[in-house]
Amino acid sequence: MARKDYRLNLPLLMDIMAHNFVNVETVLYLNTHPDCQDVLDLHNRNAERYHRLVDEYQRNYGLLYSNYPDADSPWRWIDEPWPWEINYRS
Amino acid sequence: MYSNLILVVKNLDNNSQNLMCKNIIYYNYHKGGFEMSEETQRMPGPDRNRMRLAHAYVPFQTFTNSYPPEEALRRGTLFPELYMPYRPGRRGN
Amino acid sequence: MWEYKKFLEFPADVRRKDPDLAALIATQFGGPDGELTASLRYLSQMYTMPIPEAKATLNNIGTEELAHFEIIGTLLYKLVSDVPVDVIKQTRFAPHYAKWGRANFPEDSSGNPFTSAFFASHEDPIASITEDLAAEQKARAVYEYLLDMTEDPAIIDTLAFLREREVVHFQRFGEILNLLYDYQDRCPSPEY
Repeated sequence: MARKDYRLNLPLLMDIMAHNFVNVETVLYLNTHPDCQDVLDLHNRNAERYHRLVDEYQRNYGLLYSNYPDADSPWRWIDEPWPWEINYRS
Repeated sequence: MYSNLILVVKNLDNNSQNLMCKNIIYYNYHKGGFEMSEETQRMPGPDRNRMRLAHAYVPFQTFTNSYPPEEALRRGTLFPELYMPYRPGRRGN
Repeated sequence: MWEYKKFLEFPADVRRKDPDLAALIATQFGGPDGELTASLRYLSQMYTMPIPEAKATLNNIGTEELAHFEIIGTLLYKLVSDVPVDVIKQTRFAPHYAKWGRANFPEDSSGNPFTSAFFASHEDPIASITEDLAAEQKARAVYEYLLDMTEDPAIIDTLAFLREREVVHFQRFGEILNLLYDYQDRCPSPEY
Protein backbone atom coordinates (compact mmCIF):
# COMPACT_ATOMS: atom_id res chain seq x y z
CA MET A 1 0.00 0.00 0.00
CA ALA A 2 1.35 3.40 -0.98
CA ARG A 3 2.92 5.56 1.66
CA LYS A 4 2.43 9.30 1.72
CA ASP A 5 5.72 10.04 3.44
CA TYR A 6 7.85 10.08 0.30
CA ARG A 7 10.38 12.77 0.92
CA LEU A 8 10.12 15.08 -2.03
CA ASN A 9 13.15 17.33 -2.46
CA LEU A 10 11.77 19.68 -5.07
CA PRO A 11 14.86 21.87 -5.61
CA LEU A 12 17.03 18.79 -6.13
CA LEU A 13 14.42 17.22 -8.41
CA MET A 14 14.26 20.41 -10.50
CA ASP A 15 18.05 20.35 -10.77
CA ILE A 16 17.83 16.77 -11.98
CA MET A 17 15.17 17.75 -14.52
CA ALA A 18 17.41 20.53 -15.85
CA HIS A 19 20.38 18.19 -16.26
CA ASN A 20 18.17 15.55 -17.84
CA PHE A 21 17.02 18.14 -20.36
CA VAL A 22 20.59 19.11 -21.26
CA ASN A 23 21.17 15.41 -21.93
CA VAL A 24 18.14 15.24 -24.22
CA GLU A 25 19.60 18.13 -26.23
CA THR A 26 23.17 16.86 -26.40
CA VAL A 27 22.03 13.41 -27.52
CA LEU A 28 19.89 14.87 -30.31
CA TYR A 29 22.72 17.14 -31.44
CA LEU A 30 25.36 14.40 -31.36
CA ASN A 31 23.10 12.04 -33.35
CA THR A 32 23.56 14.34 -36.35
CA HIS A 33 27.01 15.74 -35.42
CA PRO A 34 28.86 12.68 -34.11
CA ASP A 35 32.30 14.26 -34.49
CA CYS A 36 31.66 17.41 -32.50
CA GLN A 37 34.12 17.26 -29.62
CA ASP A 38 32.85 20.39 -27.88
CA VAL A 39 29.34 19.01 -27.46
CA LEU A 40 30.67 15.58 -26.61
CA ASP A 41 32.63 17.13 -23.71
CA LEU A 42 29.56 19.07 -22.60
CA HIS A 43 27.51 15.87 -22.81
CA ASN A 44 29.94 13.88 -20.68
CA ARG A 45 30.30 16.56 -18.01
CA ASN A 46 26.54 16.96 -17.80
CA ALA A 47 25.85 13.22 -17.70
CA GLU A 48 28.36 12.79 -14.90
CA ARG A 49 26.66 15.49 -12.85
CA TYR A 50 23.21 14.08 -13.65
CA HIS A 51 24.12 10.65 -12.32
CA ARG A 52 25.57 12.07 -9.12
CA LEU A 53 22.41 14.11 -8.50
CA VAL A 54 20.18 11.10 -9.19
CA ASP A 55 22.25 8.96 -6.86
CA GLU A 56 21.92 11.55 -4.09
CA TYR A 57 18.16 11.74 -4.66
CA GLN A 58 17.61 7.99 -4.66
CA ARG A 59 19.72 7.42 -1.57
CA ASN A 60 18.07 10.15 0.52
CA TYR A 61 14.66 11.07 -0.85
CA GLY A 62 12.87 8.75 -3.27
CA LEU A 63 13.29 6.38 -6.20
CA LEU A 64 13.48 7.84 -9.70
CA TYR A 65 14.28 4.56 -11.47
CA SER A 66 12.63 1.23 -10.68
CA ASN A 67 15.94 -0.66 -10.94
CA TYR A 68 17.69 0.95 -7.95
CA PRO A 69 19.82 -1.88 -6.50
CA ASP A 70 19.60 -0.87 -2.86
CA ALA A 71 15.84 -0.78 -2.47
CA ASP A 72 14.46 -1.70 0.90
CA SER A 73 11.17 -2.70 2.35
CA PRO A 74 8.47 -1.55 1.94
CA TRP A 75 8.86 -1.07 -1.82
CA ARG A 76 9.12 2.69 -2.27
CA TRP A 77 8.80 2.96 -6.06
CA ILE A 78 5.03 3.22 -5.57
CA ASP A 79 5.28 6.21 -3.23
CA GLU A 80 3.37 9.39 -3.98
CA PRO A 81 3.46 12.00 -5.30
CA TRP A 82 3.83 10.78 -8.85
CA PRO A 83 5.19 13.38 -11.28
CA TRP A 84 1.79 14.61 -12.46
CA GLU A 85 0.71 15.25 -8.85
CA ILE A 86 3.57 17.55 -7.86
CA ASN A 87 2.93 21.27 -7.44
CA TYR A 88 6.08 22.65 -9.07
CA ARG A 89 5.36 26.25 -8.22
CA SER A 90 5.08 25.84 -4.47
CA MET B 1 14.12 31.42 -39.72
CA TYR B 2 14.00 27.76 -39.08
CA SER B 3 11.38 27.34 -41.78
CA ASN B 4 13.58 28.64 -44.58
CA LEU B 5 14.86 25.83 -46.72
CA ILE B 6 18.33 27.05 -47.64
CA LEU B 7 21.83 25.76 -47.70
CA VAL B 8 25.19 27.42 -47.89
CA VAL B 9 28.25 25.31 -48.49
CA LYS B 10 31.83 26.31 -48.03
CA ASN B 11 34.52 24.78 -50.18
CA LEU B 12 36.53 22.56 -47.94
CA ASP B 13 39.23 20.10 -48.68
CA ASN B 14 37.55 16.69 -48.60
CA ASN B 15 40.38 15.34 -46.47
CA SER B 16 39.88 17.95 -43.81
CA GLN B 17 40.17 16.55 -40.34
CA ASN B 18 39.01 19.81 -38.81
CA LEU B 19 36.71 18.91 -35.94
CA MET B 20 36.72 22.30 -34.25
CA CYS B 21 33.05 23.01 -33.75
CA LYS B 22 33.39 26.65 -32.93
CA ASN B 23 34.77 27.55 -36.35
CA ILE B 24 33.62 25.25 -39.08
CA ILE B 25 31.56 22.15 -38.69
CA TYR B 26 32.66 19.57 -41.17
CA TYR B 27 30.31 16.72 -40.90
CA ASN B 28 32.05 13.74 -42.33
CA TYR B 29 29.70 10.97 -43.34
CA HIS B 30 31.10 8.71 -46.02
CA LYS B 31 33.41 11.62 -46.81
CA GLY B 32 30.52 13.88 -47.73
CA GLY B 33 28.11 16.17 -46.03
CA PHE B 34 27.14 19.78 -45.79
CA GLU B 35 29.13 22.21 -43.74
CA MET B 36 28.18 25.57 -42.30
CA SER B 37 30.37 28.09 -40.56
CA GLU B 38 29.14 30.17 -37.68
CA GLU B 39 28.76 33.23 -39.90
CA THR B 40 26.99 31.47 -42.70
CA GLN B 41 24.44 29.43 -40.82
CA ARG B 42 22.07 32.35 -41.02
CA MET B 43 22.84 33.51 -44.55
CA PRO B 44 20.02 33.37 -47.02
CA GLY B 45 20.22 32.15 -50.59
CA PRO B 46 20.94 28.72 -51.96
CA ASP B 47 24.23 27.46 -53.32
CA ARG B 48 23.11 26.01 -56.59
CA ASN B 49 26.30 24.03 -57.00
CA ARG B 50 25.28 21.60 -54.26
CA MET B 51 21.51 21.85 -54.11
CA ARG B 52 19.20 20.01 -56.44
CA LEU B 53 15.75 20.82 -57.74
CA ALA B 54 12.90 19.01 -56.01
CA HIS B 55 14.98 18.58 -52.83
CA ALA B 56 14.29 20.32 -49.51
CA TYR B 57 17.23 21.47 -47.36
CA VAL B 58 17.68 22.71 -43.80
CA PRO B 59 21.10 24.13 -42.85
CA PHE B 60 23.21 22.14 -40.40
CA GLN B 61 23.49 23.77 -37.02
CA THR B 62 26.97 24.83 -35.89
CA PHE B 63 27.58 24.72 -32.17
CA THR B 64 28.45 28.09 -30.68
CA ASN B 65 27.66 28.00 -26.98
CA SER B 66 25.02 26.69 -24.58
CA TYR B 67 22.64 28.02 -21.93
CA PRO B 68 23.14 26.87 -18.32
CA PRO B 69 20.85 23.91 -17.49
CA GLU B 70 18.02 25.76 -15.66
CA GLU B 71 17.83 28.37 -18.39
CA ALA B 72 17.93 25.73 -21.14
CA LEU B 73 14.98 23.95 -19.55
CA ARG B 74 13.02 27.17 -19.20
CA ARG B 75 13.61 28.18 -22.83
CA GLY B 76 13.12 24.70 -24.29
CA THR B 77 16.52 24.43 -25.93
CA LEU B 78 20.19 24.25 -24.94
CA PHE B 79 21.29 26.31 -27.96
CA PRO B 80 20.80 30.09 -28.34
CA GLU B 81 20.74 29.87 -32.14
CA LEU B 82 17.71 27.57 -31.97
CA TYR B 83 15.74 29.70 -29.51
CA MET B 84 12.86 31.13 -31.60
CA PRO B 85 9.98 32.12 -29.31
CA TYR B 86 6.42 32.73 -30.45
CA ARG B 87 5.46 36.37 -30.86
CA PRO B 88 1.65 36.63 -30.92
CA GLY B 89 0.42 38.57 -33.93
CA ARG B 90 3.10 37.12 -36.19
CA ARG B 91 1.35 33.95 -37.22
CA GLY B 92 3.48 31.31 -38.82
CA ASN B 93 6.85 32.61 -37.71
CA MET C 1 13.33 -0.72 -24.84
CA TRP C 2 11.65 1.82 -22.66
CA GLU C 3 12.28 2.80 -19.09
CA TYR C 4 10.35 5.37 -17.07
CA LYS C 5 12.05 8.12 -15.14
CA LYS C 6 9.90 9.27 -12.26
CA PHE C 7 9.96 12.98 -13.11
CA LEU C 8 8.47 15.11 -15.90
CA GLU C 9 10.68 16.49 -18.66
CA PHE C 10 9.30 19.95 -17.80
CA PRO C 11 7.64 21.16 -14.54
CA ALA C 12 4.06 21.41 -15.83
CA ASP C 13 1.64 23.35 -13.65
CA VAL C 14 -1.63 25.21 -13.93
CA ARG C 15 -2.47 28.43 -12.12
CA ARG C 16 -6.21 27.78 -11.98
CA LYS C 17 -8.63 24.96 -12.82
CA ASP C 18 -10.20 25.30 -16.28
CA PRO C 19 -12.22 22.45 -17.81
CA ASP C 20 -13.00 24.56 -20.90
CA LEU C 21 -9.30 24.88 -21.63
CA ALA C 22 -8.76 21.19 -20.91
CA ALA C 23 -11.19 20.30 -23.71
CA LEU C 24 -9.00 22.35 -26.10
CA ILE C 25 -5.56 21.28 -24.90
CA ALA C 26 -6.74 17.66 -25.18
CA THR C 27 -6.05 17.90 -28.91
CA GLN C 28 -2.33 17.58 -28.11
CA PHE C 29 -3.01 14.42 -26.10
CA GLY C 30 -4.89 12.45 -28.76
CA GLY C 31 -5.42 14.68 -31.77
CA PRO C 32 -3.91 14.70 -35.28
CA ASP C 33 -0.91 16.88 -34.41
CA GLY C 34 -0.57 15.77 -30.82
CA GLU C 35 2.24 14.13 -28.93
CA LEU C 36 0.92 10.57 -29.14
CA THR C 37 0.63 10.86 -32.92
CA ALA C 38 4.17 12.19 -33.14
CA SER C 39 5.59 9.50 -30.89
CA LEU C 40 3.99 6.56 -32.71
CA ARG C 41 4.93 8.04 -36.10
CA TYR C 42 8.62 8.23 -35.22
CA LEU C 43 8.71 4.95 -33.29
CA SER C 44 7.12 3.24 -36.31
CA GLN C 45 9.49 4.74 -38.87
CA MET C 46 12.73 4.02 -37.06
CA TYR C 47 13.01 0.33 -37.94
CA THR C 48 13.60 0.61 -41.67
CA MET C 49 15.80 3.71 -41.78
CA PRO C 50 18.99 3.03 -43.79
CA ILE C 51 21.43 5.11 -41.72
CA PRO C 52 22.21 4.93 -38.00
CA GLU C 53 21.81 8.66 -37.44
CA ALA C 54 18.19 8.37 -38.57
CA LYS C 55 17.44 5.37 -36.37
CA ALA C 56 18.89 7.15 -33.35
CA THR C 57 17.12 10.44 -34.04
CA LEU C 58 13.72 8.80 -34.58
CA ASN C 59 14.20 6.66 -31.51
CA ASN C 60 15.20 9.60 -29.28
CA ILE C 61 12.60 12.05 -30.58
CA GLY C 62 9.86 9.39 -30.50
CA THR C 63 10.75 8.72 -26.88
CA GLU C 64 10.79 12.42 -26.03
CA GLU C 65 7.29 12.76 -27.51
CA LEU C 66 6.05 10.18 -25.00
CA ALA C 67 7.42 12.45 -22.27
CA HIS C 68 5.44 15.27 -23.87
CA PHE C 69 2.33 13.06 -23.94
CA GLU C 70 2.83 12.74 -20.20
CA ILE C 71 3.16 16.54 -19.82
CA ILE C 72 -0.09 17.19 -21.69
CA GLY C 73 -1.74 14.47 -19.60
CA THR C 74 -0.48 16.28 -16.51
CA LEU C 75 -1.95 19.61 -17.64
CA LEU C 76 -5.31 17.97 -18.37
CA TYR C 77 -5.30 16.16 -15.04
CA LYS C 78 -4.52 19.34 -13.13
CA LEU C 79 -7.06 21.43 -15.05
CA VAL C 80 -10.02 19.23 -14.06
CA SER C 81 -9.08 17.41 -10.87
CA ASP C 82 -11.33 18.34 -7.95
CA VAL C 83 -13.58 20.47 -10.15
CA PRO C 84 -17.17 19.72 -9.07
CA VAL C 85 -19.50 18.12 -11.61
CA ASP C 86 -21.87 21.12 -11.32
CA VAL C 87 -19.11 23.28 -12.75
CA ILE C 88 -17.92 20.76 -15.31
CA LYS C 89 -21.33 20.32 -16.90
CA GLN C 90 -21.41 24.01 -17.87
CA THR C 91 -18.16 23.71 -19.80
CA ARG C 92 -16.88 22.29 -23.08
CA PHE C 93 -15.51 19.41 -21.00
CA ALA C 94 -19.03 18.05 -20.29
CA PRO C 95 -19.14 15.62 -23.26
CA HIS C 96 -15.77 14.16 -22.23
CA TYR C 97 -16.98 13.85 -18.64
CA ALA C 98 -20.11 12.05 -19.81
CA LYS C 99 -17.92 9.41 -21.48
CA TRP C 100 -14.84 9.14 -19.28
CA GLY C 101 -15.36 11.25 -16.14
CA ARG C 102 -12.17 13.16 -15.37
CA ALA C 103 -9.91 10.44 -16.75
CA ASN C 104 -7.58 11.27 -19.61
CA PHE C 105 -8.41 9.72 -22.97
CA PRO C 106 -6.68 10.21 -26.33
CA GLU C 107 -9.15 12.26 -28.40
CA ASP C 108 -8.95 15.53 -30.27
CA SER C 109 -10.64 18.73 -29.07
CA SER C 110 -13.88 17.70 -30.77
CA GLY C 111 -13.97 14.26 -29.18
CA ASN C 112 -12.81 12.36 -32.28
CA PRO C 113 -10.79 9.36 -31.12
CA PHE C 114 -7.08 8.90 -31.72
CA THR C 115 -6.26 6.91 -34.83
CA SER C 116 -3.10 5.83 -36.60
CA ALA C 117 -4.72 7.40 -39.68
CA PHE C 118 -3.19 10.59 -38.23
CA PHE C 119 0.27 9.56 -39.45
CA ALA C 120 2.24 7.60 -42.04
CA SER C 121 5.34 5.45 -41.92
CA HIS C 122 7.10 4.76 -45.20
CA GLU C 123 10.00 2.52 -46.16
CA ASP C 124 11.11 5.36 -48.44
CA PRO C 125 13.12 7.42 -45.95
CA ILE C 126 12.73 10.73 -47.80
CA ALA C 127 8.95 10.34 -47.67
CA SER C 128 9.02 9.56 -43.95
CA ILE C 129 11.40 12.35 -42.93
CA THR C 130 9.54 14.91 -45.06
CA GLU C 131 6.36 13.87 -43.26
CA ASP C 132 8.22 14.35 -39.98
CA LEU C 133 9.24 17.89 -40.95
CA ALA C 134 5.61 18.69 -41.75
CA ALA C 135 4.48 17.09 -38.50
CA GLU C 136 6.77 19.29 -36.42
CA GLN C 137 5.47 22.41 -38.17
CA LYS C 138 1.87 21.38 -37.58
CA ALA C 139 2.52 20.72 -33.91
CA ARG C 140 4.28 24.08 -33.57
CA ALA C 141 1.29 25.80 -35.20
CA VAL C 142 -1.17 24.08 -32.86
CA TYR C 143 0.84 25.16 -29.82
CA GLU C 144 0.59 28.72 -31.12
CA TYR C 145 -3.19 28.40 -31.51
CA LEU C 146 -3.38 27.13 -27.92
CA LEU C 147 -1.05 29.85 -26.62
CA ASP C 148 -3.43 32.36 -28.20
CA MET C 149 -6.29 30.93 -26.14
CA THR C 150 -5.00 31.13 -22.56
CA GLU C 151 -3.62 33.70 -20.15
CA ASP C 152 -2.64 31.21 -17.46
CA PRO C 153 1.10 31.91 -17.02
CA ALA C 154 1.94 28.37 -15.88
CA ILE C 155 0.22 26.83 -18.88
CA ILE C 156 1.85 29.40 -21.18
CA ASP C 157 5.29 28.35 -19.89
CA THR C 158 4.52 24.69 -20.58
CA LEU C 159 3.00 25.24 -24.04
CA ALA C 160 5.92 27.51 -24.98
CA PHE C 161 8.38 24.81 -23.94
CA LEU C 162 6.56 22.19 -26.02
CA ARG C 163 6.41 24.58 -28.97
CA GLU C 164 10.14 25.27 -28.83
CA ARG C 165 10.79 21.51 -28.81
CA GLU C 166 8.99 21.26 -32.16
CA VAL C 167 11.33 23.92 -33.57
CA VAL C 168 14.37 21.93 -32.42
CA HIS C 169 12.95 18.65 -33.72
CA PHE C 170 12.37 20.26 -37.12
CA GLN C 171 16.05 21.22 -37.19
CA ARG C 172 17.15 17.66 -36.37
CA PHE C 173 14.89 16.07 -38.99
CA GLY C 174 16.23 18.59 -41.50
CA GLU C 175 19.76 17.47 -40.70
CA ILE C 176 18.74 13.83 -41.13
CA LEU C 177 17.30 14.70 -44.55
CA ASN C 178 20.69 16.07 -45.60
CA LEU C 179 22.43 12.92 -44.37
CA LEU C 180 19.95 10.77 -46.30
CA TYR C 181 20.77 12.66 -49.53
CA ASP C 182 24.45 11.94 -48.91
CA TYR C 183 23.65 8.30 -48.25
CA GLN C 184 21.63 8.01 -51.44
CA ASP C 185 24.44 9.57 -53.47
CA ARG C 186 26.97 7.13 -52.12
CA CYS C 187 24.87 4.02 -51.71
CA PRO C 188 22.30 3.72 -54.48
CA SER C 189 19.36 1.47 -53.74
CA PRO C 190 20.20 -2.23 -53.82
CA GLU C 191 18.45 -4.45 -56.35
CA TYR C 192 15.99 -6.70 -54.56
